[in-house]
Amino acid sequence: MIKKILFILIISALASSIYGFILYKKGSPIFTSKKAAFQKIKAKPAGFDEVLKLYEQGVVIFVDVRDEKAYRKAHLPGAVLFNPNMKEPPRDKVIVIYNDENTYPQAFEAAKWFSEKGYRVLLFFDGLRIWKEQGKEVVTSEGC
Amino acid sequence: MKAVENIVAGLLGAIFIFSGIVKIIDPVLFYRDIMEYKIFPRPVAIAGTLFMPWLELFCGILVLFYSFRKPASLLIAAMNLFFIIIVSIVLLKGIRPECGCFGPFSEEASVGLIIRDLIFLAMSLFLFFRTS
Repeated sequence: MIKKILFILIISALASSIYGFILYKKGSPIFTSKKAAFQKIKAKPAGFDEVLKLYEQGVVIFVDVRDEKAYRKAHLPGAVLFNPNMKEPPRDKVIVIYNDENTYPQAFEAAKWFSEKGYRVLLFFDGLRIWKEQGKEVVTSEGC
Repeated sequence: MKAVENIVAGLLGAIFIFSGIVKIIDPVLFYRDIMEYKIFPRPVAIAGTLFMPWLELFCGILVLFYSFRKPASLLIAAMNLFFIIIVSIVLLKGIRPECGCFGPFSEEASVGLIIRDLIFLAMSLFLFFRTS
């Protein structure tokens, strides 16, 4: 029976290796490290001050890449929830993508999507937490 | 009794084949669910994202065949035990992530989920001990 267990483990490992190789070649977000993703998608990280300045100029569209539940709980003012079938925002806006610690792959996926369409894209990592820490207003489900 | 064994094997096989396929189709969603558990470092999460769906799929297929039923059911039991431990840890930590069990059809981690996994564990152990 041990041989059969090993057989199942080996074919699973082989299949997952081939599968992993295909996903890697296709540039799947699960392999995207922060640094590599910057080089590929031409988006740059932005700090609070830069984001706030653009926000006050009214040229920003915040894009939230977390899940819908987290979005409903709290999001940045005017933020839209990212999905690849979403309506494209006006081209003259700066796209500021924010995430949390668990959604780096989604942030890069969204950044790639917008940068391929020619938008100016900024990545505001862990943006909601930083925004709140700076005493700025966030929108909750009650405020939607 | 043979008929009961075959029905249990069919059910368990179908569940694990389905569970494997939905994860293979959408690895990013599965990866995200694993990361939300906040237990595994990133390399382990990537390895799990790639390996677990295939193990589930092959175990699901092979449990349908009598000659492979015993090893496949033992592996399914081991996976369920692992899932029960992981879900218990996150519940104790007060986190309630999506379980990631069935891709987009997943539910929130809960006591109900542990009970469901215990039923799967019982089914797989039943097959293991009934198969000669």
